[in-house]
Amino acid sequence: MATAGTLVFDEQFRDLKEIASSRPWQLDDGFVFGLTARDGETYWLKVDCTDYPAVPPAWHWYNPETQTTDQPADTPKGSGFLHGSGRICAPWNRLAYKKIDPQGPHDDWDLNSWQTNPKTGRCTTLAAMALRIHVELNSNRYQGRMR
Amino acid sequence: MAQEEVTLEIGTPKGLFSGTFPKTAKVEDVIEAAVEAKGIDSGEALELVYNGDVLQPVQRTLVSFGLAGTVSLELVATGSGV
Repeated sequence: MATAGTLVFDEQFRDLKEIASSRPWQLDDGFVFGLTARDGETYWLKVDCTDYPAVPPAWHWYNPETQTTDQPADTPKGSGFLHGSGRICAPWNRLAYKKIDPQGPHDDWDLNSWQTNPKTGRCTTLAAMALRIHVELNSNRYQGRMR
Repeated sequence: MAQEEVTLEIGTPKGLFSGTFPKTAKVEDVIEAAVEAKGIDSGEALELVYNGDVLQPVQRTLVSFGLAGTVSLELVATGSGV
C-alpha cells in the first residue's frame, strides 16, 4: 500500500514532469534531471527523495557519463545559493545540513523542521525547488562551473 | 496588426499554468491568476521570472517587459534559499 509520503512524491513528481515537458529540461523517472544555464552549459542533478517529505530531497550535482555525484566539474558556482561548498544552500536540500553531509554549510538548521525554516519560504514542492535552481542558473549571479 | 495578447506558460510550484493575457495585463494580475488556478497558498511570497530576471515592480505591464507571443516564465518562491 502506498504511504502518505509516496502519494505526496507521486503528485509532486507529476507536476514537475508537466513543467519539464513544456521546456527544454530533461527528466527521467529515476529523477535524474538536466537543466541548461544561461551560458548554454547543461547541469545534471540526481535527486534522492528517500523519506520525502518528512525530510527534504538530496539534490546531488551529477555526471551522467561517469555516474558520479558532487564533483566540482559538474557543479555550478556563483552565489550563496550555488554555495562554494558545492552544495545548494537551502533548507530544502538535505545536503545543506552538515550532520548529513560534511560539506553541508549549515549545522544550525533542523532537518525535521525544513518546511517551516524561514529560508525555505514557500519552496516546499519538488517543482518549486527545481524552478528555483533553474532560475539561479539563468540569473546574472551564476558564474559557470566550479572547476 | 500588432498582437494584443501574450500567451504565458508558467512553471509554478504546483505544475504548469497556461493562460493568454492582454499585453497590458499587470504582472501582479498574472501572479494572482496562476495562484488561483493552481490552488497555491498565497501570491505574497512569489515572484514571476523571465530568463533569470524577476519581473518587478509587479504593477508594470507584460508589454513593458517586452513579452510578446508565447513566453515561458517561472513562478518562484521568494527568498527560498540563501
